Amino acid sequence: MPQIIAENLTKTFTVPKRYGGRFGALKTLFTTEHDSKEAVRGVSFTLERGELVGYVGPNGAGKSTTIKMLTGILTPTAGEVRIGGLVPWKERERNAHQIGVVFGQRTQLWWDLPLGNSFELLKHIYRVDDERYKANLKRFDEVLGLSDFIKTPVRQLSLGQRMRGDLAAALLHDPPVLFLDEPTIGLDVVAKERIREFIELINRERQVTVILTTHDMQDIERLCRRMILIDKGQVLYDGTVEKLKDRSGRARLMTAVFAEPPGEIDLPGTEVILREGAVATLRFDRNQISSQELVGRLSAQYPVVDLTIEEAPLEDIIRTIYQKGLTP
Amino acid sequence: MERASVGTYLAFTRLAFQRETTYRVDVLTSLLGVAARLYLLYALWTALYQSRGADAAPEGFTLSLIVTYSAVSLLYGLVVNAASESADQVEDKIRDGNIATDLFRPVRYPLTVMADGLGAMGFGLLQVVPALLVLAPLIHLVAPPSLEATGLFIVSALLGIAVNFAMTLMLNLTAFWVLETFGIQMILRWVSMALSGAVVPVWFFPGAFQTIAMSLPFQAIYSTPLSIYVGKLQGATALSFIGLQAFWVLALGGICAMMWRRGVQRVVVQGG
Repeated sequence: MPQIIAENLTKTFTVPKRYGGRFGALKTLFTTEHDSKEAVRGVSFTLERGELVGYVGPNGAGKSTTIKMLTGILTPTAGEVRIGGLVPWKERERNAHQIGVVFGQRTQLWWDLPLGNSFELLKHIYRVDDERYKANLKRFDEVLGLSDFIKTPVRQLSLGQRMRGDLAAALLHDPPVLFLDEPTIGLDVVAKERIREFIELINRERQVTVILTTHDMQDIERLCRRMILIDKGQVLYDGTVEKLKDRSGRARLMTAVFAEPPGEIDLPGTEVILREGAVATLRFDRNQISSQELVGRLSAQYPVVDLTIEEAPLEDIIRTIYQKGLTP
Repeated sequence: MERASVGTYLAFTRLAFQRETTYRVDVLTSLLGVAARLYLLYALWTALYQSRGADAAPEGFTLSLIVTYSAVSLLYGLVVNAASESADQVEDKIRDGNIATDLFRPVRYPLTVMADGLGAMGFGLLQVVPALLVLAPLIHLVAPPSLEATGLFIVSALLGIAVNFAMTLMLNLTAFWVLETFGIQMILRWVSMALSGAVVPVWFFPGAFQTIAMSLPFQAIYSTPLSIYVGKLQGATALSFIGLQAFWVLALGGICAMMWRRGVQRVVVQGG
């Protein structure tokens, strides 16, 4: 049986209707009418044990709402969730033992106390026995370098240190499932890489099933074989990252440096995605125009000094899908 | 996996105690604040009593009894507030959505708040009891009339702390439904200040006010334990007032439990 099952998951928030106009505020206060907002609309997917899946979508797509339903914090309006056979919102406390959660924008650590005290308290909360606690802490320390700041009060930690602490805290009780909601948000490149290494290690070494939401497509390219793309509360794509790249026609990006600012560039089969001074980046589809042809035409019309061609990064592909939808 | 045990919650209590020790300066400053307020009340009561004649004792309160009442009230108030501080943070947690991190743990969040309050209360007592013992001979505080009264005072004080905790938690839990409770809190704080007997014993109130005060839970926080301390309530009467306190603890606690259950079901974690 799959470890995580979401079936037709739906969440509708109701908010009191707001009125504009002269007495709008007063009317708003006394209204009994409600507007409803469908944050998640019929999302279904399953995850097998040990999978590491990227859950991706623009702001407000319903990512966090989904995660909150999977962790048992939110009650779904319709549809079903099972984590390891349990319904999270019905059996919140039992479910809590089998999941680890990191919300990048919040911390589950105790702000006023040294990091180590948070770990101690979590040891009691999840009733982790001494041996396992020590072994886990030692292993996490090796990868995350916790001992450098374990005695520092959490409020004094840097964002990167805090996130490392939060990750360790989420995994002290050896949960088979890990939810990561934007774990790399706001971190510098080095800190991000450290977090990614840890996620990869946990997934590989302990077969932890991971759902990862992020806006950083490098997280996905680095860690996930499979990704689920959602927008406006619905699943747009569920499959491997490679396949998504294939479906997008393996778009290429050509960056050209010109001798002087080139002005408007209008070449059939290409799209200008960046133009700054004497540098421009064009997206093109190999099926419509070959690289050779493009180079020829471009250098015939403009004084080209330098050219680079690369495969469009995942980020560019995703951006195109948000704007234009997914072409089948 | 079975339910979280008492030991789990005691870990929260221990941690709260540790946290309080890191903010020792806070306690010292609030003790200084108490000393200043006590001096003002002492001056006020002395002036009032002198204007009424040397042996004035309204409702049986002699000058030294009313000064004792004020001093014990101020020190006890520190513990009352310390114990409910954790409950007072629930509203913010609900409003900014940080309650999320408490909901994915295998513990009952309200019980952890209570355990935290116990830790803070324990630390508060460690500061306040010595302060009381030092203060007693300095400003000639009167001791409770008997050993039995001392025992009843302790029981009643603990119940009073529980009533205040439950009331604070109840107010904070309204944040599930209304996003702004500052107004209600201010009004309640003033009403509580006046009707709880924290400053002026409810026995001094004119008839109608006294009836109103007696039918509200506020007096269960201050008036009952303090009145037992100064010997205004004794024996069976004291016991019946303690019974009333227990009623308020159960009633308010029950309301909190209900609000929590409903609130969590409709929780909309704010902010992403």
